[in-house]
Formats: sequence, structure tokens, C-alpha cells
Amino acid sequence: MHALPAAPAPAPRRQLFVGTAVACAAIATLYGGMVALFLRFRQSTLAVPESEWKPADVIVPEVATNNMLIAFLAVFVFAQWAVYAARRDNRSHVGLSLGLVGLIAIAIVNGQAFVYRQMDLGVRDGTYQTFFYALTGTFLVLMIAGLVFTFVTAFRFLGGRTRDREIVSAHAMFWYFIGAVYSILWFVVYVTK
Amino acid sequence: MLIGLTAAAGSVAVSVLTTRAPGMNMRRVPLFSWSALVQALGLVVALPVLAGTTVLLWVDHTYSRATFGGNLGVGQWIGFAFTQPATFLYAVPVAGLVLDAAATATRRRPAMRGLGLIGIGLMSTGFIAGVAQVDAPLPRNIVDENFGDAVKDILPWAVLNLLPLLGGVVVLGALGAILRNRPRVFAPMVFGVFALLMLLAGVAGNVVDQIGDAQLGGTVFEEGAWVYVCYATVLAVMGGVVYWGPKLWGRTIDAKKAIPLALLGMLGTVLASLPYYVAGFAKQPGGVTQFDYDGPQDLWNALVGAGHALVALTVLAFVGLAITSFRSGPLAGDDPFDGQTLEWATTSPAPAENFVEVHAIASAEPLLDLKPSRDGAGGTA
Repeated sequence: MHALPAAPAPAPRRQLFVGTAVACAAIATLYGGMVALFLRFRQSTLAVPESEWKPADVIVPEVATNNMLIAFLAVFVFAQWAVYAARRDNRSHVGLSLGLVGLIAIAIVNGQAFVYRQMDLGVRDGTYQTFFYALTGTFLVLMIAGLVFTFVTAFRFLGGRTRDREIVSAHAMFWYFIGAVYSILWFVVYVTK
Repeated sequence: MLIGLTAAAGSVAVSVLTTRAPGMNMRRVPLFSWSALVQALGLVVALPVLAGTTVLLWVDHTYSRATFGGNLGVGQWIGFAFTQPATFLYAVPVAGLVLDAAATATRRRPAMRGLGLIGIGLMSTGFIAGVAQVDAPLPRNIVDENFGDAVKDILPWAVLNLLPLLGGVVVLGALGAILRNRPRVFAPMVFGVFALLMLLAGVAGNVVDQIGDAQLGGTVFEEGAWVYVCYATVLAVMGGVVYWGPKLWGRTIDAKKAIPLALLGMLGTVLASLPYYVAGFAKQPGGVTQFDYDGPQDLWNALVGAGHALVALTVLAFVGLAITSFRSGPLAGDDPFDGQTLEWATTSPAPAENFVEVHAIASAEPLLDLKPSRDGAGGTA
């Protein structure tokens, strides 16, 4: 076997952070493609005179949807607080901030359930309804993935792996990204309609 | 399946980006690893678009809507992912394999290595078709359009169809620069060269197919181009097995048995594709074998059938050869092919941890830093 010289200690790999970034890129194109099709069908429907895309009797509960958007600001703050606390080995603050992230994320999921109930759309009722449930359902799947990420992050860090700060940073990046996804959903589906 | 493929692609991308040896910057990454990274990143952004469309189709189909045209309309919405140029993405590692194998065959540092990196990158631009869900054909009578409209039509066609072809030509140029160093006959290189040539034939065919004035839309010409690309990938997979199989299983495949299979595979690929190029210009519609044509239409279709059969037999023969070789063939040793890259610096098969110590590297061909070169420049025994 050839004898290559020994190396200095390798730099941290940041595999989890890079992997999360790659996953965010995949989510971007996943959601972007779906939103693009939504807009395309909306445009082609509205191009026909006297046709309607969203049924006129369907009211979007904008207070709930706006509050969900504002809640993401809190998620960002608490996720970044977790990163700040992890860098200072402050386990209690990490636990508190991750707990708050999870709590607010559950509140956002609850908000989406409230929106479903208020709008009372039947998925079979029309093209708009089909797209609505596909887009918001995918968003809910992403929220659940984020909640799992929060739980795993909290479990690992609070379980004693306090040197593994990379996962807390990756966790924050993921929530920033989910917030961006919801911003697009909010604007396209709930504002533009 | 889409989630699994995307996850696998993400894993490959993260591995290349984060688990390199010290000193291995992105310009020193092996050419096959670079091609794997490029392909993986393209798949990470292209496959989720297909997944999203599939979700919409599934919801629509499950709840008895016909927004997307029902069963018959499915192809219109997801066909972009299974036709060219999006499918070029799956063939990008062909370029990496042929360049790595060719460099090993010459036992010298590959000249114009950067050209190979650029060419591989250009070949992957077909991923844009997968993301944008388009194929951007050049409309008919484009010469009659005004300049602005012509540019709007030519630009997407050029980006999606000409850029991959340009990338392939650049890779061919890089290969030519490597092969000026008098390579030995090396089975993986033979597979790789044939694969690259077949790939280029498919990519070039796609360029012609997308020109509206050629009037090849809906004919078997598109199928011929697609088969070229698919079978080029099959040839490259076989070449990869011949090249890296010894590292995995510790035994080599006899080149005297492998090279004839490469020739048969190439012949089968040409037979399965080229007649459809001819039949396409004769306006044979896709999916039919009898049409209004005075020429030897049966001949083209028979040749294509023979070509597919020959490729199938070649693959079966190769699988049998690989199984018998890796079970009872000659022992490979650590570096059976006098390689240049790090995988040849460990035993065959590699131990569980690959390297006890992570070695630092100072060039793109770290093993050549230790071996005497054929021209006597650099390296120590």
C-alpha cells in the first residue's frame, strides 16, 4: 500500500448543515413547481370571461392566515435563540427555546386546521379546491417534518451531546426555510387567491 | 420512489461536498466524483418538481377530478421528466467515467482537466428542463419571425438543447487531450469511449429533433435519440463495474472477455437507434411500425428490434461474466490498474473504515505524486 503523509486534524464536516441546505433546495423546487401549476391554472381559468377560480362564497379567514405568518417570526426568533444558547453551552435556554419553537409550530398547524374548518371546502368540489388542499397539505407535511427535526434536536442536545451545535444551526435554517415556504403559500393562496 | 431517489442524490451531493480528504479542493475532486456531484445536485432540484406534480395529479385523480385530463392526460404533465433534455441528467456520469478511465489508461496526469470539469457541468444543464417542466422546441418557420420573437424562441431551445451538446463536445475535447498520451487498451476506457460517443449521438439527435422545421415531432426519431442516451448509460454502468468492481470485490474481470462485450454493446446501441433516425426522416410515427412509406420500413424496424435484443444479450452476458469473475476471478491487488486517485491507495476490497488515517493530498492525482511518471517528471517510487 502507498504511504501518503498523515494529515492535520480535519476541519468539521458540517454534513448535517450542508445536507439540510440540500434538502431545502429540494423543497424549494417541490413547492415552486406546485405553486407554478396553481398560478398557471388560475391564469387560464380567469382568462375565460365570467369564470371564477375561487368560488365567490368561499371566504378565506385572513386573520388566522395572517397570524400564522406572524407566528413564524416568533419561530425564527426562538430558533435563532437556540443557536445563540447552544454556542454558549446554555442547556436550559436551548431546551426552552426549542420547546417554544415546537409549541408555536403546533399552533401554526392548529391554525391551518382552523382555516380548513372555516373555509369548509370539499376536495372534490373543483379545481381550486384540489389545488388548495394539495398546496396546504404539502405545507402541513413540511411542518410535521420541522416538528420532528425540533424534537430530534432537543433530544440530542438535551441528552448530553452539547458539543454538537451544528444540528441546532441546521434546525434554525430549516425553520427559516419553512417560513419562506409559508410566505409564498400565504401570498399566492390566501392573498392573491 | 421519488423521495428515495432525491434522498440518495442529496446524500451523494453532501458526501462530495463535505467528506473530501484534506487538501482536496473542488478542482482536485476526481472527475467521476465531480460528475456525480453535478448529477446529484441536478436531481435534487429536478426530481422534487416531478414529485410536486405527482402529488397534484394524485389528489386530482383520487378525488375524481379531471383537471389534469384524467389517465390520458398524465403524460402531458409529467412527461417532461422522462423525455429529453431532462433525461440527460442521468447520463452525466458517463463523462466522468470516461475521463477518469482514460487518464488511468495513459498513466499520466490528464491534460486540460479543467476542460473536463466545465464540459461535465455544461452537460447537466438539461436539469433546467426538469425544473421548468418544458422541453423548448424551436418552432417552425422561425426565420419568418421578427428578431425579438426569434430570440425568445431560440434562447430557451439553445440553453436546454445546445448547451448539453456543447458540454459533450467539450468533454470529447478533454478526452482527446488525454488520449494524446498513448493510452494502453483498457477495458473501462473502451466502455467509456463507446458510451460517450453514443451519448453524443443521442444529444445531437435531440437537438435536431427539437427543430420544428425538421418536422420530426411525433416520429420515431425522438425514440432513437432517447435509446442512444439510455444505452450509453448502460454501457457506462458496465464500464464502471469493470473499473471499480475489483476495488469492491477484490477480483478483476478479464479484459479480453470484457472488451468484446463493449463492442457488442455499442453495435447493439447503434442498431437500436440509428435506423430510427432514418425512419424518423421518413416520417414513421412513434408507436407504429406500418405507415405510408414506399421504402424498406420493415428493415428499419427489424434492425431496431435486433439492436435491442443484442443489447439485452450483452447485458446478460456481462452480468454472468461479472458474477463469475468477482466470485472466482484473478485477485485484484490494491492497485490493479495503476490508478491515480485515492481509492487505489487502500486494499481491495477496502476495509470497513477505508483509511486508518485521513491522508492529505497535494494534487488531483495523489497516487501519481508517489509513483514515477512515464516521462520521469516528479514523483518517487
